[in-house]
Order: sequence, then structure tokens, then C-alpha cells
Amino acid sequence: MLRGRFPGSRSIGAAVLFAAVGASAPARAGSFTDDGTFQFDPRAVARLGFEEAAPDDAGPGSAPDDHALEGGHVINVPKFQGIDLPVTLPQARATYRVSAWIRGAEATVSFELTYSQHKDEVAALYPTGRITSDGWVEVANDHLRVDGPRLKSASVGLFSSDGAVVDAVEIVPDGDATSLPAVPNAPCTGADDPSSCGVEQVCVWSSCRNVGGWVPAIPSDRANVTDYLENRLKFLFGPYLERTQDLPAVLVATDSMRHATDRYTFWNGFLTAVRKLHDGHTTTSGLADFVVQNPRPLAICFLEGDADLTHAAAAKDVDYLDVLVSHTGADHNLGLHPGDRLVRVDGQHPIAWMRALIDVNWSQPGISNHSTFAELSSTLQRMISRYAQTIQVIRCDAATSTCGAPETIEIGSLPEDAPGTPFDGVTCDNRPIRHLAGAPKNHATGDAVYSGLVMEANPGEKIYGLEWESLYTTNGSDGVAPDLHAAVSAWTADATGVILDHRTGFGGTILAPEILWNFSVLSHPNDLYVDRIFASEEQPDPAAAQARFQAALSGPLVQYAGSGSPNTDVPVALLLTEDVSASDWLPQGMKGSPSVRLFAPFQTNGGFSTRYAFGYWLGLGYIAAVGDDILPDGTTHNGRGVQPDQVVLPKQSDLLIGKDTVFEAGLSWVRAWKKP
Amino acid sequence: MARSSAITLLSLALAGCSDAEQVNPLGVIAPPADAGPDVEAPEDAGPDAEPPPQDDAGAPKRTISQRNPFGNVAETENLLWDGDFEWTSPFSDQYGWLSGPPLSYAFSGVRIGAECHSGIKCAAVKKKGNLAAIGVAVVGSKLDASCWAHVKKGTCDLVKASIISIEQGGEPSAPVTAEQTQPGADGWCHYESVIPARTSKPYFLITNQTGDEILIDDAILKKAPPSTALSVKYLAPTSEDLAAVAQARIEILALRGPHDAPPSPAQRAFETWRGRQ
Repeated sequence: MLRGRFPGSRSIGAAVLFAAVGASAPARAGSFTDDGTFQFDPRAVARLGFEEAAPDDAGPGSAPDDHALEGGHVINVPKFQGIDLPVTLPQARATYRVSAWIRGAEATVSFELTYSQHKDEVAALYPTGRITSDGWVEVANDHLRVDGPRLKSASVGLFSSDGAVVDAVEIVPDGDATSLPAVPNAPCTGADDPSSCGVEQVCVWSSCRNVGGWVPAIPSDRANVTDYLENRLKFLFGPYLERTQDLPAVLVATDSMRHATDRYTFWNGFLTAVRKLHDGHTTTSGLADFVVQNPRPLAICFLEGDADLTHAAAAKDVDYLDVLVSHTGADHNLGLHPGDRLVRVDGQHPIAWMRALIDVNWSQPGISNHSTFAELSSTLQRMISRYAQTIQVIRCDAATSTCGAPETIEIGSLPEDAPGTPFDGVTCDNRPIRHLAGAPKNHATGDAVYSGLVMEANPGEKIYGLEWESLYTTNGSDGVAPDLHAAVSAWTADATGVILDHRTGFGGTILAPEILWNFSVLSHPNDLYVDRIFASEEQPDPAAAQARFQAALSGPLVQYAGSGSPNTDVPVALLLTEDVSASDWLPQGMKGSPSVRLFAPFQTNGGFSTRYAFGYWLGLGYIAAVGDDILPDGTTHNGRGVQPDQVVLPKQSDLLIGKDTVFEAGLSWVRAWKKP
Repeated sequence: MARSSAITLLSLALAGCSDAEQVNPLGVIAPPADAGPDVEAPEDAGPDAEPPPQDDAGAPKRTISQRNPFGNVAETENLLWDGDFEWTSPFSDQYGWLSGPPLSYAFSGVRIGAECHSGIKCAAVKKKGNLAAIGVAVVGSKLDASCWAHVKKGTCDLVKASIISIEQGGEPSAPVTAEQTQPGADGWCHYESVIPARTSKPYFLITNQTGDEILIDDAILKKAPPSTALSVKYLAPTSEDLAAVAQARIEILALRGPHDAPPSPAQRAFETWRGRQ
């Protein structure tokens, strides 16, 4: 008998029993005697009853519990803490049912497998519906594939956001080697590899990963579950334009749930349907995104622009902008530098390749308009590593401003990082260069607000800058609000011009844009946010919407932008590329003000809504937009971004010599119009 | 090996409440191979279908029942985002229910297991607390609104449920009233009203005036068949009722518009634990 151990090799006193793997007979979970006593399945290959007392030192551990499900002890999962329970499995190819019982609060229970030096596969445990009168809830997942001969380690992970109690973890064989593909985790050549992977597998990081355990089983009442979930989208998804344009494809995806023959296809059908709503607020997620580790991280950020130096070597695409290297980390950069060009990914234009991932990529970004792709460009760093086999690049020389021929890099054959390998990661923020003292070298802005005099101007010019991404404040006094108020105070004192660098904006609340609107915009009725009222509500007639807006002017619901006495003698350049929500509202409220000019490669996202988030036991989740926005002219705004006043594409020739095209355009305009 | 309690489970299930919730076959969820025709599953065993654990010799330590892990999905046309709370998530910063007072997107108090009425999850509402479910109406159609509340102290009518509007000039609140004054033997009260068609966005407001914590579960707002008679009882509201609705309107109005919070503390804790890349 062996013992599982916590991180730090502290004994947890878990009784782990090993037994021979049975044949592929159906699994039997632990059962109950007539008096309600729990009994482990006798064929379990691992049983964790937590019957040995934890040591006296602090930290999570087994504890006596009068209402333990099995024996007299449980394991307590403290709030916001995770626990790994290592388990040892037989060295055979088999499938398993992994189960646990939880009490008190929701807990995430995962089954994690390591075949390399990283977490390679994960399964989420979901409620089976079996509950006890004293508060226990069973979570499980079954037919989880394990290639025993290659397995380096396995563990059961526990996490709770409220603090939960767990007991009676068991792993029971429910299938033999015939339940696995002939090559359990076959090598593959990217997301569009048509043949290497089997049912309930997806090609991720160049190997066929088992994804059946990401999701629950197909419900026995699948028709009800499918109709119920489909109706969430039909009845409640808000944005009008996407409803008109995208809902038909969404319903095709949900219809696939009615015919799916495996659990991954069933549940991915729903999540794909959500992604096909094509909305900036509307996304999906899964446990694997948090747990499975990237063995080959990259530190290269891309953005869309004009590859003005290399169109002879690789023609511009008719549908998409060129994709250029914006900035990189010191390592894991494939030798690429700012100004180098990403020409193709697995034979396609990078944006076309990214768009095609929508059927498999649970973390695919949503974009409300149908013509811009900044959200996809900034995600290429992670998705190339995850889903690509090859990329084609053109390297350029900064000293001579010359570029070479297209070169192919095999992503799938890059060596995997050993644990502890230094990684100089960079955040992709659509800013090739930061322009304020103190701004983070790795571009990881997060919730911070950076402000001050821009470094490219003479201090005596008093040209101020603001680099920030969050607009979150709950009351106008917390979150980013104090920093925004402080910046505005400085501008009011002596600014001759201001550059607002919001080239990445994750939104927040309207209270934050109001602080900036009030500085530079004369008060005007901006828009009317509308929550969805009826299940069958579709795109309103513009005249009716305009009348609704006009009627609302007499009430409290119309959003006004600006103040009665703005500083219109201070020019404000607003730099934009990737945004959503309140970060869309920010330029919308500023658009048209005589002292403000919007600089961007293209229109904004058009995510004029808010959203609600839902999760099923943290194994899978979705977020959906719930409303829309009406402009004074009666048009609806979600799905239609704010157009820039000046279209500026980052130029390859600029990036190569360390010049930030969009910023320079803004600076030039501010200097031309600066306050005397 | 001891006998499984499956027979007991089945009998309890068949004797359970009249919940429309359908459940999976007893034991494990249907395996992936079971992807064929849908199975007509037994009904939910219902809340508290078994006696609590007892220490007396011969009395069962616990009993086991089966719920639909996806909740009351038989109500496929529920007009609320998540009336049964099954899709609530600790990572969610903004969910299909608001909780208060003051009503806000911070949603906590989710309970799991046998104490809930249907499915696996339900919501606790503290004394003097309230909840508001977010939904939509159906043009020109009467609506059937219902929910369950588990009451520990007092009578069913101390849980105030109503469909409210937050819009200026919207319809008056429509009470969703208890079918009985006293909670059932299991402590649950059922509330249901068929209300007139709405022209404004409906919020299902539930206020706890019982003097102790309550549980709320299985809220449904659905289109009522045209032939269904209205059953809403416009009782004279107390000043406390009126104040609660008026305050809820103010609080919900204040939440309109974009609201994109940073990752929740739970998500950040999970990411830290897992070292997300």
C-alpha cells in the first residue's frame, strides 16, 4: 500500500489501494449498503478515503468527520486553494471511471495525466446526479483513457472557491486497451490534420490529445438538454445584427448535438454554437485551458499591418491585412524580431487559419463586427504553439532594411521546454513600443494605468500620454478611476496635448470613459443601451429605434458623453486597435469631438453590450452578450465598430527600425494642434 | 459484498414529487456509447425524499437519490437564463441572477445536493436578502411564473416573489404567490402565478421576509398557453413589499450597461494554483 502525497511531500494519510486492472466490463462505482454505508468498488485501482490523520503542521489535510462518506475522515479543500492528490495507476492501457464525493460547496475535481514533463491531459469530473441525504454529491467522469506504459504521473486535483469537503475518491477500470486508439496519443500535424486523431481526440501541441474527459457524458435526456441550451441562445442572446447574420449558423451547430455520437462532439457542438454567435462579449472556456501545460511556449507578439518591404516576396492577401511581428521576448522567439512578417500558418494566411479554429478552439476570441481581426492577431502567439505544424516567415534586417525569402519553421518539431526553463514571456497589446516611463517591459499592463509625459516628446512640450487597458470601476472612485482622475488633473494643469494609448482595451464600466469624456467632449446624448425584452425580438426598424431613442431622452436611460465645459483646446489623440465593451464606448463617446482624433488600423470591435457568464462545474463554460445599443439615428451599434478618423496601419518598415507607426501619427497630429 | 441500494433508489424516485424534471438512469451517467435514441428517464426523487441520517441501530445512516445533473431542463422554454442555478460559476462576475441587497452581480450562497429542490444546485438567501432572475417576456403572451422556496421559519407568504419591471411606465409588479400557507413536510413552498402579458423586460424578484435563511430553486418563467386562465392574485402590498420592489428597481437600473470586471478572485486563485500559461 502506498500513500498519496500533497505538494511538498506531506503525507495526507490517504489510503490508496492498488489492484489488478479488470477486463473491460462496465464500471461499477462505489455503492451503498442498505444502511447507507458507502463501499468502494472492489475493482478500484485507487481509493482515497483519507483515513489516516494528517500531520500536525498547518495546511490542508485529512480530518475526522462524523459525517464522512467513507470511513471516519474526509479531506477539507480550503477556500481558494488547490490540492493535488497523486495516484499510481497500473502500467496498462485502459480506460477508467474516476469519481469523488463532495459536500458543502461546489468543488472542481480533475483527473490529470503527465506523459512528458508537463501536464498533458485532463478530465473534469461532473455531477452524476447521485446524491445522499446527508449532503454528499457524486462527481465523476468515465472512459478516461490512460496509456499506462507511458504514464509518468497521474493525479486528482481538487479546488474550491468556497471551501468544500471531499471523500471517497476512487478510480475504477471501465475499459481495456481496445478502448484506446492503436497509438494512444499519435503525433499529428496541426488542427487541420484530417486523419491522425481518433474519436474524442483533438490535435494540440502536435499530439492527439484525449478530450472526451473535458466534457460530461451525453445526457440521457439529450433532447431536453439540447433544446434548453439552444433556447438560451435563441431567447436570450442580445445583439441584433449578430442574431440576423449569425444565428442560422449557430442553430446548425446546436442541431449537431441532436445527432452527435460521442460526448465531445455533443458538448463541443454547444460551445461551437456559442462561438459562432460572433460577438465580442461571447466566448467559451474549458478546464483544459487552465490545466494542460504548453510544452513549447512562444514569446512573439503579432499585429496586423502593412508589410511594405515584402510584398514582392509574398503578395498581400486580398481579404486580410499583413501580419507582422510587433515585439518579442528575449527567448522563445524563433529568432524573430519586430518587423519580421508572418506569411502563412499551415499554408493559410494567419487570420484565415485562426478563423478556421472556431470549431475546436474553446478560447477563440469573439469579435462583434465581421471585418476586423485584431483579437485573432494578438492571440496567434498562443494558438500557433497549440494548433500549428508549420509557419512561414520572412526575416528582415534592421541595419539594411532588407528582407529575405519566405522561410518555413516547423513548430511541431520544436523541442519541449524542461521544467524550470527560463521564459521571457510577453503580453500582446498591439503596442510595438511603450512610450511612458515605468511601463512594463513585458507589456503586461493588466489593471494598471500608466500616465505621464511621453518619452518621444521634449518634456517642455508637455505632451502627456496614458497607457491602460481596463476601464473597470464600480463607482467612479475605485478600480482605475483614481488613476484616471489623477491623469486628467495633470492634463488640466498644463497639457498641450494628450495621447490616449488604448490599443488594447478590455472594457469595464461606463463610469471610466465618463472621466475621459468629461475632459475633452462637450456633453451630448450618445446612445441608449437596451436589454433584451422579448424572446423573439429581432433587429428593430431604424425609425422605430430612433423613436425609442427620442422617447428615452426624457428619462434617465440615455447615456450622455462629455461635460459642459470640456478642454477643447487640448488635442487628444486616441489610439485604438483591439477593444470591447466600455472600450468601444470610449471612442464612441469621443467620436466627432473637434479636439479629439481617433487613430486606428480599422473600426473597433463593436461590442456594445454587456454579458453574463455561466459555467458547468468549471469544466466548461460560456459567456453571452445580452443586449444592444441604439444610436440617435436609430441604428443599432453592436456588430458595428467605431470608425477611426485616421486609418493608420503599422508599417513593416517602421517596426524594423523601432518606430511605432500609429503612435507617431498621433504624436504628429497632437504637435500640429497642441495648445499654445 | 453488500447489496446495492438501487431498488430503494428506484422506488423513491417513482414515489417522488411531481417535478417535471427528468433524470438519467440510476447509477452512472449514460456512457458515451449510449448516444442513440433518448431514454425516458425516471423523475427526480424530489427534495428530502429520504429521512435524515440517524444513529439509531437499524436506521439508515443515509439514503441515496438521483437528480438530473442538468436541473429542470424539461422546461426547455424557460425564459430565465438559469432558473435552476445549475450553470452558476465561481468564475462568473456577472450571472443570470442578481443578489442583494443591494442587488448586484456578486452572486454567492450557492448550495449543492439534497438540500436543493431540483438538480444539484440552488441558492441560499439570507434573512432580508433578495434575488432577481433575469429573463425575457413573450410578445402578447401570458406568462407562467413559478419557483420553490425552502422556508425554515414562518409561513410561505413571507417569501415575496413577483415579476417586476424596472422601466418607467412598465407594468405593475405581478405577485407570484404561494400555493399554500404552510411549507410542506419537506419545508418547501411552491409559488406560481399566470400573469398577463408584459411589454417590459421581466425580472423575477424574490425577497426573504421570513426571519431566517431560505433556499430558492427551480425558478421558471414560461409562455402560458392562451387558454390558461390568469391566476395572479393582486394582494394589497405591504409598505415593506412596495419599498423592496422600488429599491430593487433602482438597484437594477444602476447595473445597466457594460460591466466587464477583471477575473474573479476565484479564477485568479485557480490560475495561480495551476500556473496558467
